Amino acid sequence: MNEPTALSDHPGPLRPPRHPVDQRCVLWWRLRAVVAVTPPVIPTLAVVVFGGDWLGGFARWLAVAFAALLVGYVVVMPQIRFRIHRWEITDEAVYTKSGWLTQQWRIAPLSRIQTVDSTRGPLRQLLGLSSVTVTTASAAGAVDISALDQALAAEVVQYLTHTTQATPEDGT
Amino acid sequence: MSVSPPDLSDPTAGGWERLDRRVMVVNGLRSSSSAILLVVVLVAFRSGGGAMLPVVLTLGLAGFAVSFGTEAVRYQRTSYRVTPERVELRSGLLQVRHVSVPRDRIRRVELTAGPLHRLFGLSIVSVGTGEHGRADGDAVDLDAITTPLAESLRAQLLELAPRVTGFETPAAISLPAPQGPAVHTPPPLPTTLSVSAPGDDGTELARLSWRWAPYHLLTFWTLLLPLMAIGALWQMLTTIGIDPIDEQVVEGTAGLLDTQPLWALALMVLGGGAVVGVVGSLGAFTVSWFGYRLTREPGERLQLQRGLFTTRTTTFDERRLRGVKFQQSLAGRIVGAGRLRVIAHGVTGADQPNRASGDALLPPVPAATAHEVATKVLKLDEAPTSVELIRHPAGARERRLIRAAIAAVALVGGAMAAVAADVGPWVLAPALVLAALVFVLAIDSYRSLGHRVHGPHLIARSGSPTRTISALQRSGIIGWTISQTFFQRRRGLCTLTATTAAGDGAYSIIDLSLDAAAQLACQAVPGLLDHIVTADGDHGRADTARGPFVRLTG
Repeated sequence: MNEPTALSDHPGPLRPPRHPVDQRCVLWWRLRAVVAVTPPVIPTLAVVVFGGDWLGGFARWLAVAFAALLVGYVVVMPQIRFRIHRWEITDEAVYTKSGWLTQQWRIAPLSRIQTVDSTRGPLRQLLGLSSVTVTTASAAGAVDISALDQALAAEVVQYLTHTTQATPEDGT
Repeated sequence: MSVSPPDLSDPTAGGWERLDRRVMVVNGLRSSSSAILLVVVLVAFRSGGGAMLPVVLTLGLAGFAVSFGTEAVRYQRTSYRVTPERVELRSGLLQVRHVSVPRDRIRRVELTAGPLHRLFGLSIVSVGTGEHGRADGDAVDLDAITTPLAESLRAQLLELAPRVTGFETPAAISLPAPQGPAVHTPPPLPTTLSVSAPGDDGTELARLSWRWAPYHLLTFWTLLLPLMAIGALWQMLTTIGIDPIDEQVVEGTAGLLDTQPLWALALMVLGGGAVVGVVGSLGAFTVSWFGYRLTREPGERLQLQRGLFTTRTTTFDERRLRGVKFQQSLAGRIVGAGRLRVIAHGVTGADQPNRASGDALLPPVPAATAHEVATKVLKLDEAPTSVELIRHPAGARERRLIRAAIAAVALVGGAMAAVAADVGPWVLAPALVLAALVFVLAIDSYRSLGHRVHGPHLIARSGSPTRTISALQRSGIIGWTISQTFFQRRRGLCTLTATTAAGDGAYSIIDLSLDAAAQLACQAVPGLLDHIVTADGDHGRADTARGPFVRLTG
């Protein structure tokens, strides 16, 4: 039985991908956050306004704290996300970093890419943005670049489609 | 459309074929079996019932007719075709279904035959492609054709499947990179579609040993069967008109029980339960694993057969084998036993709702046997499931201990609140025991963690109380995900996940340092991360940039 050895041939750390996502993503994420936050905000504000003596005044403070948390989410989350979200296409792979509280680095080898799609919902459409979704044969392998300028996204899709067509393997 | 029975010598001729005619009888009997049983029971027990008899017989006959009619229509409307490129199945009366599977996507063929199918010499052929995201109904199920025809169909489907793509031979295990310079010459295309002899047995890798039977007692069957027996007894009593919670019955039983000392009663109940559990579990073992054989067939196929009443023969393409998984439950770890499962394309976990018999390679067996079979299946010198692994950083243990501490505080705090609310001080005892157990699990969970690259495999171990070791072939890795939660980031830890097209689709190494994750990924799939993990202090600056879209970096 050979002993497990410490790895030394690649001593370097993981560097972040080179390119930031489009600046307009901050607005997109913020709008999305507003949409998500609206349903809980309305009853919370109702408690702040009308719930003065509930639970001996405690309910109002709770509601104020919760509302502050929601507003903080809308203000802060897009900023943090923008600092973290990055993407790159190396000679070998599509490489992305995403997330905010939980961060993810995703690497999909060009030779294993099965489909490349650009996706845009109504908000991204409005802002002229487009996401690029790269899937492999694995159920867990999709890599998402969100989001880029629509022209750039189209260019990336075309480049990846062209490159992966040249690879003869079936991606598994 | 030809109605004649298919030509046995050449199922790939390309015409539309019918299923075997006898399947109407088999499935008709199967689906009307409850009606038949009902008629038999009622006629037997109420033979003097007079007026009831014609009604019962009419209803029974109606059920019988509907079952057979449905089957006759299904038979009439179902046809299949095997062309050199595709396997196609057409079925349905009102909503016609047409399923077409490209033959070069076929990864697994399974032959299943229940007792009635076997009586009539028929087998169900199910074909798996192993493509994720594909609707389950899209797999082709031929229910049923004659067993010899099914066997020759299986041989041909799997013979042709891998050679068209000519993707990887087992020599490809010798890496380095999936997209590396090592080009493997595809084996030549078969020039003829010959029927391989069904008697060809291949090399045997494992066969049933009755000494494995006791290990089956460690499975959930042993606990489940006594409970099921009680349920069945209850049901039976209700059916024959005794209400088990009726006052008289309860009193009568209590009177009977009063004459016995308590310990004798407890012994009787436990003993009875144990006997039912042991006998039932051994029975389940026999039904599932009778005739078990794992063989390597010519043409690089692995074949697993088993079953007492319903026989299953699963054959899969060895070139699509991507590793093995060894799972030990708590009881299994105590006695040194576990289950060996396969990681392969077209083979999913046992909980899939299709006919496929899951990913088990062996019943629960002693660890040494599992390691030996793993070695043979993967064609290695040493079992990847038994090698020494790299331990994880102390931060991983701290995280688990902190989580355990939070759970323990919650448990004890809850118990103290209960005591304060006059529930009684005894509540503290189970709370303290549980709290201690949580810490034991935390330590065990840390001790389970391990990883390494070993030969052609990436090995990951985790889990408590059930411990799982996965050995995933490095050439089967088709992507990486490193994820870091807020709490992991504070300790410099992360979770490395290798994605693959086989088995579960993703295999994770939990709580290793970020640098170790990057280095492990580099070591497992050389070349892929060359420009991402760098020793020369490149932090993604523009002046060192290569590749497309460089101009974007400002």
